[in-house]
Amino acid sequence: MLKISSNLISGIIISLFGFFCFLYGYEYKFGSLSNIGPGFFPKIVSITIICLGFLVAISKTDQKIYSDYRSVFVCSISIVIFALSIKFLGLLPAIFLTSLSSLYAQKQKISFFKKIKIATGITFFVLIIFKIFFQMNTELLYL
Amino acid sequence: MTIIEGLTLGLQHAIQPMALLFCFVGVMLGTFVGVLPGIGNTATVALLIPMTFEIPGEYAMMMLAGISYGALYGGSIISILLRIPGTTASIMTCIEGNELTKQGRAGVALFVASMTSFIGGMIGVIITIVAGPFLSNIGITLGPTDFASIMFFGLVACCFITTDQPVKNFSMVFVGLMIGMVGTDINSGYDRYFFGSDTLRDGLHILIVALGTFAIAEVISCINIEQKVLTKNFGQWLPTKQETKNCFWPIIRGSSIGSFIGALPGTGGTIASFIAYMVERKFSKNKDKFGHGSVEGIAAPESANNAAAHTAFIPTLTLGIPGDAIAVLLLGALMIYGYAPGPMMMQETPELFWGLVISFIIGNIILLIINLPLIRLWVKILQIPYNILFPSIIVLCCMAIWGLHFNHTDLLILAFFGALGYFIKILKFSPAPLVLGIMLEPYIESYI
Repeated sequence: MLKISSNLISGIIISLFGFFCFLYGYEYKFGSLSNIGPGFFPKIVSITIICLGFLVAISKTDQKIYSDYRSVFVCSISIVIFALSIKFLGLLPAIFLTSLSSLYAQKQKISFFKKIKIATGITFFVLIIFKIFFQMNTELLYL
Repeated sequence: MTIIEGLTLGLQHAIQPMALLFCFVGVMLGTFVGVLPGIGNTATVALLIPMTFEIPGEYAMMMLAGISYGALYGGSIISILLRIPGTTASIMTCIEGNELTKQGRAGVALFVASMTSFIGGMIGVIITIVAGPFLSNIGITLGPTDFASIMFFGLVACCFITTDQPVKNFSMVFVGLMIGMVGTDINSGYDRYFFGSDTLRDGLHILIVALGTFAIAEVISCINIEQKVLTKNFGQWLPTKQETKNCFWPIIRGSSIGSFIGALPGTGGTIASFIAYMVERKFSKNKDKFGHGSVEGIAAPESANNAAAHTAFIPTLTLGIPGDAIAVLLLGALMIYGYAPGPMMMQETPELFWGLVISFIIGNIILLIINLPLIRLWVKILQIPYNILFPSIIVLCCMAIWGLHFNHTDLLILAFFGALGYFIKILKFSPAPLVLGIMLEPYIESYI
């Protein structure tokens, strides 16, 4: 658990996001008020985001918050595992590996055997819904 | 043909055993797929259309329509219990309903959602019968300025979703508008912010953002904290007398807003539910309860999205203009079955129009009769151990996103929005304005 202060950090991130969008979309044609170009909206919105980010950063309520980086990291990785394995290995390994990997997000100690059991159960449940019921057109296993 | 004659004709068709069977199958299937996160009614209808070619078009339409409004109810079940929007129209129910679940009142939230969905749906049907042609004419006369005003109203209202710090909600709306610009500009055809990716060139699908910022973010934030869901009053599902009384005006206002917005071409239940929630928040005597498990906060959006689901059929059937995404599919299905949707439909094929309208009433009654006793069963989902539930949610979300375009880049975007949604949550922002901003950006830009 890491302590971070909320409003200042979020305000800075929002302003940076707005600044990045402004720079990235700088070359899009602005056009005129009667005939707006593809850059009109991005520029107006990104400048507004920069200003709003500033307002958020200076706003009074500044609570201390806690974040759990382990869960964010493991859950994101498990979705990435799904994305890669469904492309290269097939549906069955994708579901199994995603269920198994996501279980590592929990700090609670679970034996590896139990994790395998949970992942197997979820795999069968999801396959019944999507492969049998919805007849999803994805290969179960690439051999 | 008068309304009475039309209803009599519709009744003759809709109470045929086959019609009742297909209506029943439709609403049950809709409820089931609505409970699965992210599958939604649009995908289910798209999957089932080819299977309906062998049955008469009239019955097939009753089934497909049943799926569309059955899924809305299913969507609210999973929203209330697990804070996962089954459909984007359930986002507001997600916020209020899940707060009630955390207080041990999941049964009450489900009962209110079920009753208000039913009443909202019935009001939508009545308005379809009485004012259908009138509303479709209003839809035609409204211009880009009027539509842009409705969209802006939705966005501005959304900034007051939580009373503390509207500036944070404003910033989320604008970040949403910015993210909504990813892809091809519909006015100039110019590709913006796509970073060389073909997937991003097509724009972001709203479902990826909704599932990431709500479902995945909720899972991440709950994995390592002690589950605070109270299980003491699980079996109790009736609201108090005062709560029932408080729901009256939210239902009326929500249904009216939903009926009007649903009938406008190109809008749909999601915007209706957002606006109904915001209006209710403004009018309610219990403003402080909003965001902390307000029964009125469930009643208004639920009645609005169900009313909109029914009135969305008005422009589809009477003008041949789809009211929302699912209406596009139903319009295509109608043409496949050999019907010609448009102003002459009520004259040329009255049995289809009126049969469908009566099937809405029957379908809503079936939904209510079946789902009220099932409330005790649904709340048992919360008793599934979280180490089984959370990997299942992650996998179901992945499957739903994979099923959109069979594109692995969509899944990487889901992972990104999952992490983003988590940080939005812990930094005390609300993801709802972000999702609405992304969803409305193309409309606003094109109407302006």
